[in-house]
Parts: sequence; structure tokens; C-alpha cells
Amino acid sequence: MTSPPVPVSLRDLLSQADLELSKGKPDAAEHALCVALALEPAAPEALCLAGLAAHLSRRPELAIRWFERTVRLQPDNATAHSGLGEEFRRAAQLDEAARHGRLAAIIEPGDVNALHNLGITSYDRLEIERSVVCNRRALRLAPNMPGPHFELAEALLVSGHFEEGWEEYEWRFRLPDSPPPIPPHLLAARGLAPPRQWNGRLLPDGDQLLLVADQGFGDVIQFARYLPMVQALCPDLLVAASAEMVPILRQVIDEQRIHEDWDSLPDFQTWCALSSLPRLFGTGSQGIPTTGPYLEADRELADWWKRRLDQLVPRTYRRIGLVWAGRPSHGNDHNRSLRLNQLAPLFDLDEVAFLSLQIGPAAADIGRYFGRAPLVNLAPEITDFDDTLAILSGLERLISVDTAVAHLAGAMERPASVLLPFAPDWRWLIDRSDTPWYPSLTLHRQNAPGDWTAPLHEVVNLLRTG
Amino acid sequence: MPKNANDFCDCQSGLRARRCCAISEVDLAGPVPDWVPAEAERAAMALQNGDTGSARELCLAILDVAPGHTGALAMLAQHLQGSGQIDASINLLARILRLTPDNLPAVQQLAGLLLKAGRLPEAEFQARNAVRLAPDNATSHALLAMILTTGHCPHIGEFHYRQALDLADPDGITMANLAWNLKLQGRIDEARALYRQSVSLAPSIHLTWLGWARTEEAGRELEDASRFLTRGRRLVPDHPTGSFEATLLARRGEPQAALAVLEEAGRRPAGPTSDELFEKARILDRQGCSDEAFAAMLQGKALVREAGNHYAEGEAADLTTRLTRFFTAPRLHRLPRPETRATGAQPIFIVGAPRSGTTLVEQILSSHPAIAAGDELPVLSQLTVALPRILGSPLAYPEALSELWMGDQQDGLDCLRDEYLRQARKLVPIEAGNRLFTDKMPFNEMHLGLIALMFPDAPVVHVLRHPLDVVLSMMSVDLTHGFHCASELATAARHCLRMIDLVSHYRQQMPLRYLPVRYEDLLNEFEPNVRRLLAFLELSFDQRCLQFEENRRYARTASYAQVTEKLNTRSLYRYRAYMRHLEPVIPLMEPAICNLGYQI
Repeated sequence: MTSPPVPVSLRDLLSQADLELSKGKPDAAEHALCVALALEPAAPEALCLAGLAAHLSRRPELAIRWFERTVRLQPDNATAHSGLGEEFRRAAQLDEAARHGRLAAIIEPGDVNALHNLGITSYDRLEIERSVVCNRRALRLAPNMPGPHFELAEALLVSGHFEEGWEEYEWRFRLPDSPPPIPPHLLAARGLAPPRQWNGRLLPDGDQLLLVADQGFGDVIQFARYLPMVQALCPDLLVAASAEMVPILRQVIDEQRIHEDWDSLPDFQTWCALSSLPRLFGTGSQGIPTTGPYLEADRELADWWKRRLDQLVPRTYRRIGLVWAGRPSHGNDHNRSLRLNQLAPLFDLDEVAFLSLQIGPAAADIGRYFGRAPLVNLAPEITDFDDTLAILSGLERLISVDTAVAHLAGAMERPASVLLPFAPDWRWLIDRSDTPWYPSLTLHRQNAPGDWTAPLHEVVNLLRTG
Repeated sequence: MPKNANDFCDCQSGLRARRCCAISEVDLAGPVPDWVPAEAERAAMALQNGDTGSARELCLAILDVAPGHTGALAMLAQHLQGSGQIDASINLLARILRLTPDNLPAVQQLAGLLLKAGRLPEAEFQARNAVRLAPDNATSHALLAMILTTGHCPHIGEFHYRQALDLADPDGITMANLAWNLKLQGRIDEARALYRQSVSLAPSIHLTWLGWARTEEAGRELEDASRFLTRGRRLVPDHPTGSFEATLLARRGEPQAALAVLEEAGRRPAGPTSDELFEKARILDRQGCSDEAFAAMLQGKALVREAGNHYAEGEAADLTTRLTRFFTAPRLHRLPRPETRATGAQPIFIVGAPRSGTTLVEQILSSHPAIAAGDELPVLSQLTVALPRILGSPLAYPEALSELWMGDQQDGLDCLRDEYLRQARKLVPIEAGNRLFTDKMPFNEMHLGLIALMFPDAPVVHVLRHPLDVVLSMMSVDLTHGFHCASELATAARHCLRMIDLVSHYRQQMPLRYLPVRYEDLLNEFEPNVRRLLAFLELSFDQRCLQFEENRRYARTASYAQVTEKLNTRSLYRYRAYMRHLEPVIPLMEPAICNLGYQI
């Protein structure tokens, strides 16, 4: 066996690094780049590739260093400017991100990635029109690129342009790393007659429709409202959902129809993702379906939790629920979540007890909480969303970031304050403190990226006056 | 144990190891040579004539050939006790009891010696045996009373003192002991009356006068305290009273005179006692002489360690780890909850490090008519010892709580709770109108998990204070809490950190009715924080809680004198004057200090 030839020229090393990067192997690329930079420390191409490698291996500070050295040596390197734009965006330095993003787009007007990145940065800066323009320009250059389509969807939806927004939103399943709504083997097993995607019309008798409760828990809770409408059109309905969602879905559909296991699904002829229902029902142009609370707590469980809360907090205290962080793996978690100590302005209120419904790693913050108001960690005794519903039914108000519990409170029509980042998820729209999706929710928005002062101030005032 | 069993035993009995601590059951029951009885008689005569040397030699010779000779064992034990060889004497008495378990004098003597050696659980075991053997023997009851009083169970101790007084003619010493017991229970007036009776029966016992003096000091009668102290000193001038005398002078606003007394005490051949050194440190601290004060603290702590009191770190670490492992949310999920509601006054747990302000919080709360002061109740830690027996578990606490998963222990938490209440109510003076009582044993946060299981609705008030102030203050008093962690600065810091981490763990794993209260907040914003405390306990505000210094209750802890003063802020951030001295523990404590919301 002979060893592969060792490339020695700068050109060969850069080609090798490029190849490794395209294979998604930044470590191997960095190895080649290390040799290349030893040969020629000021080679802009090598520096730029090193920036990309550091970006892919999630070392943002290093990526910024490499990209900045690149643009110092080669001020018109669009890739490096675009890379800087993306890194600064992720670091919430949006002015810097926009500056580099714009430079990249000016230097290389045909660079789709630069336009896409600038589109995202513009959304984060709440420059929605600019975001729409950037993504449309990107799509003119690459009409089938899912990223700009999805970004365009978000920008259109957040600004209330529902019809086109829902159409663009369908591209979400084609995003890289996006899990298919139905496992491919299940479709393949249906051979020559694969199930069709539902078009929202009445189904012929005997045809079964599979609804897939896709995306996060919040989406499922939000779109569960459509299930009775779907059932009116397709009486033979199946729903595929994770076990956690069963307590929610069984309140809007017969539990027998809910399946937690792909392999035990009966046959079906048509399928649809739950998150596609707003499009199929023309949501927005024809209003948003709100027909009163569609989730409620189990009465016995609610009584049990009331007795439990009576043990844990003084009866005379106001009971306020608290969730300060979402699922850490969510792409936008760094924008939407807080640390518990950032909520300090709330904790000086007298005769208020905070009940934490926070789950996941952020709940560890409770061990370091020593504020004036009592804060009780309920998570250890929360088994499922039935418990969460029962607890919410006994609270005066919930204060939550944009996460599933906020949707639960909304679906129950319980009072809740939702703390939103400067550029919120599309569903919360812009420039309003209410939401057509949930009449009982009050939205508290950041008025500058990353700054929670104003929304917290609003919540404190609300609690003081409420 | 010496390597060679023929060498002298390490316990310093004077016997060979194989005839002492390494003895086998076979040797113990071996035949006795014919000459032994006569020699034993000679030994007894020698002892009677005061010739202890000869008696000792004779006993050693007898025990070398007849190690089970109880007469020789008793004589040698008596001799060893007289010469201060307490451990050896204890060993010999224990051997007598192996041979003759019903030997009342040996049981009583052993109980007394174990008390003297500070081995309280063993002493209590023997004293209870003495009462079982002879329930109408006054000495047995008096011994048990003394042990229980020392072991923080004065209420039960009181019962046995009264039994002793009932069984024999009134004697001044037992009366004085009962008086001291009542003083510890905060019943100053009754104690005073008993002291009066005691000195009329036996006026020449200096300890009675000193006890009375301390009682008067606790009752804020400083003049009488001085007078009785002088009487006691006149009887036994060499008895070290420097610490108390200085405390009195300092409380009367004469710090220089107090220091002079302590200086003089320090010139004794045996040197100053640890209490005297701590008193000196506290006075110097108030005068702003931090270097000198800290030097006195270090000297005092060195004496504490010389007396054998070291942080039992292995034990503390082991228990902390096991508690952390046991109390996790998934394990607790299937535990039963107490099935029935407890009746009568219910506990409020005031937890936190010693010297963090727990006494102040208790003093404030117990000024409220609905709250009785339980003080430092030993009940919870006693319960952790009894817990395996109560639940019928072969495991120790906390693992013994696993029995609660068994079908026949579904009422286990009710049993534990009721046992806690049964024992606590023996110790707490609960009066009409008291709906709650406090348990402020420092470091009870170690058992926060057990508390929350037994009392899911019991309020837990966690008193927080700047950790550097806490460890500094722990250096200026003698404390046994927390596995003797306060015997050294570094170990005090380490134990405090262990408890902070453990509390954090409990709070992550269990819902708790928990309120953190900062000592600093209490001092800076008194009324709002008192209102906050009372609201958390679901009690209406009561003006008397603001005048807590008028609460005549005697707090039976190191802070008893502080809580009789009006609120002042001189104890805030005292550590700043000691930064140089605290430097060794600062890197260790810094993260916890920041997490608690303090700065350095």
C-alpha cells in the first residue's frame, strides 16, 4: 500500500482545503490551511478559507479573526465580508453585520449567499422590506435555493403578507438538514402509488388523510386549532405525533386517531403537515380561526395542583408562572431566551410568588436564584403537558419567552405575557402588543436587539397595576 | 494497636496489648491462679491506704494472668481515671461490662467517663442502661439528665433531674444542675429560684455560683452576674473564668477592663482557654484591631483542634455526595406523600450557616404571638439516625428512604414526620396561640430534601450572609456544627461551600417552600423585610417583631447577647478589615460569593 502524495504547493493545499470544506470536514481543511499559511502567511485565499473552516467548526471568534485579516489584505473579498456579516449577526452585532453584508452584496452582486445572509441580517434588524428585497434578488439568481425562499416566507408572514408567505413557507421542508415530514421509507413502501399531499379539499369517502404534527411543540399547539376543521373535510383522519403532544391533540381529536409510532400507522392515501394547514385554510386573508379556548386543564389534575401550590406558596400571594428559556437546540434560541438573573426587575415585587415551569438545562438557574420573591421550581413534578395545563389553570398570569408554554396559555385563553426578541418569529407579527392567534396574550417586544429592559419594564408595570 | 501483642497497649492502661485491647474471648475466660485472690485483697488495701502505685502494680500483675478479674479491672480503672487516663479507664470499664453486664457501678462510672470524654451517644447508651438496671437509683437519673442536657435535649434531662431529686434527699449539686438545665431552656426565673435553694444547701460549690452568674447574665441582670461570679472565684480562684468575666465587662461597656482580665488569664501556667481567646478576639474586633483579633482567633482554633475537634471532612463529603445522589427528581417522583395532615404547631425551618443571622431571624419571628422559638433543635439529625429503624431499612440515611417505595411503607413519611413532631414538641415551649415553632439548627439545609418530603408545606427560611463574614464570624466562636468545620478557616469555608452546592441541588430537584433572606437586607431595610418574612409565613404583621430586642427569650446560641441589642449595622461586611487573613479562602469562595449575589 502506498501513501497518497503529499501536496506541497499553495495551490494544491488550497484545493484540498476547499474540497474538505465542501465535504463538511473543517478539521481536515484546517490541517491543510495550517500548512498553507505556514508557506505563505499573507495569502488572502488561505485566510478566507481558514475563516470558513472556523465558521463551520463553530469557532466564531477565530472565524472573525481570519476574515478580518482577509479583508485587510483584500478589501474586496466578498466571501470574507459575507462571512463577517454572518458571524457578527450571530454575535448580535447587527450594525457590523449589516455593514459587512452590504459590502459583500455590493462587491459581488451575483453572490447568492451574500444576498441571503444580508436578507437574514435585515430581518434580525427588523428591516423587513430590505429582507424581502434581498431574498427576492437571491431567488432571481437561484430560483430553487430553499434558504432565501424560507427567509422570504418569514419576512412576508411577519409583515402580514400571508398568501404569498404561506406559499414560500412550503420551502421549509427543503432546507438543508430539515427532517422530511414523513420518513422516506414509509412513502417508498407504498410503491407505485405514493400518498398525495392534501390540497385542502373534501376527501372522497374511504380516503384516509394523515396529518403530521411537524415542527416544534409550539407549532403543534398553535395549529391544533385546525384539526376540527380538517376533520369536517376528512372524517377518516389520522394524526402522527410525538408522545409529548398526545395530551394536547386528544383535546381536539379522538385519541384513537393519534399515532406515536410511524410503523403502526394504518394505510393512508393523502398526507399533510400540520404546519401547512394555515395555508390550506387561507389563514390571514380569511382571518385567523379563534373560536375561544381550545385546550383546558383536566379538572382533577388542576385541583391536585392547586392543593400542591397551596403547600408551596402563601395563599395570599399572587401566583405568576415563569419560563425564561426555550429549547437550546432551537436555531433562534440565543435571541429568544434569557438567563434567570436577567429577570431581576420582576423579583422585587412584594407578595408575588413565581412558579417556574422552566424545563431543560436552563432550570438549573433556580439553584442560583436568591431574589426577594419566592421562586418555586415545579419542573421536577411536571410529567407532561397535562400537568402544565393544570398548573396554568391556577395561575394569575404566565410570563414566558416564545416557547411552547406560551402557546398553551394562549390556547387556554389564560392571561400571559410573552417576552419577544427584537425580530420575533413570524407568528408574532410586528408593531403590536396583541396577537390575533391568541386573544389572552400580551406581547412585550425588545426595542433594541438583545435588550430586554423595555419588555421587562412593561411586565413589571403590568404586574404592579394588575 | 502495637505490632506485637506483647508490647504495652496503646491505650496506656499499662497492660500488654494481648491482655488489654487485643484480648480474645478465650483469654478473658481463662483459669485464675490460686494466688490471685490474696493479691487482689492486697491491692484493695493499698488503694484504701492511698498507695496507688502499689495498687496499680498489683492490679497489672493480676490482670496479666487473670485478665477477666473484675475487681482488679475496677481498681485499675479507678486509678487510671484519677491519673487522667480517661480512654484507658473507659476500655477497662467496658471490659468489666462484657464480663458482668448488670454491674451498676461500672455502668454509671462508664457513662460518666464517656460524658467527660465528649462521647455523648455512647454515654447516653450507658446512662439509659443504668436507669434500666436501677430505675430507683438517683445517680442513674442524674447521670442521664446530665448527658441529655449536654446533648441538647434539656427537656428530657429535666425529667430525669426531677426523678433524681425525688429519689434522694435534696442535694445542692443536683439542684444546681437542674437550674442550669432550666437556664438552657430559657426558663431563667425558675433557674434563679433553684440556684437560691442550691446555695442555701451547699454554699461552697464554686460551679453553682458560676452557673448562677451565667444565668443572671442570660437574664440581663449583669450586676447580679458579677456578684455571683466574684463569689465563685473566691471559692476556687484558679478556675478559669476569664472568658465569662470578660464577656460581662464587655457587655457593661468596659472593653479595656475585659481585655485586662483576659491578659491576666493568659498568664496562667496552662495559658488561656479557647473561650478566653475567642472573647478577646471579639473585643479586639470591636475596637478595630483586626490583626490582633485574628491572631487570637487562630490561637483559639489551635486549642480547639488540640482538644481533638477536627472537621470530619470525609464524613461530610460522603453524606453530601449520597444526599446529592439520592435526591434527584426522577427518584423522588414515585415517593408517596404524607397521607394525613399533622395537627398542632408546625415547624418553620430557619436554615443557613451558623453566624449568618439565624438567631436574629428566630428572635424576630418568635416575637410574634403565633410563633414559639424552638432554637437549635437536634431533632432532625437525630431523626436521620433513627430513620432506618423507623422504616425498617437495612440501609443508612438517606438510602433508607428507599423503603418508601415499598407497599408496607406508604405511610413512612407520616411516621417520620410524627416522630419529628413528637420529639420537637418535647423541646419547644409551645404556648397557647402558637401555630408555628422555629427549628433553627444551623446547617439543617443539609436535610432540606427530607424536610420537604416530611413537611411539603413547611416554610424554609434560608438566611444568607456574605460568606466571608460568615467564615470570619465562625472563626471567633467555638462551634461544633457542620462536623466541626469551624475548627479551621479553610474547613469552615469548604463546609459552607458544600452546603451552598447542596441547597442549589435540592432546589433544582424538588419544589420547595423556600425563602432566601439576606442578613444584610434585614439590617438595612428592617421593616419591609420583617413584613416579607411574616407574609411568607402567612401571618399578619405584628409590631412586636420590630422590637425583637425586647423579646425576653434567652436565645441559647452563640448570638444570645447580640440579639438583646437594638439593630446595628456594625456586623455588616466586617470581613473587609480581614482581607489579608481571609486571602487563603477567597479563591475557593469567590464563585459562590458571586452566585449568591455578593461581591468581594
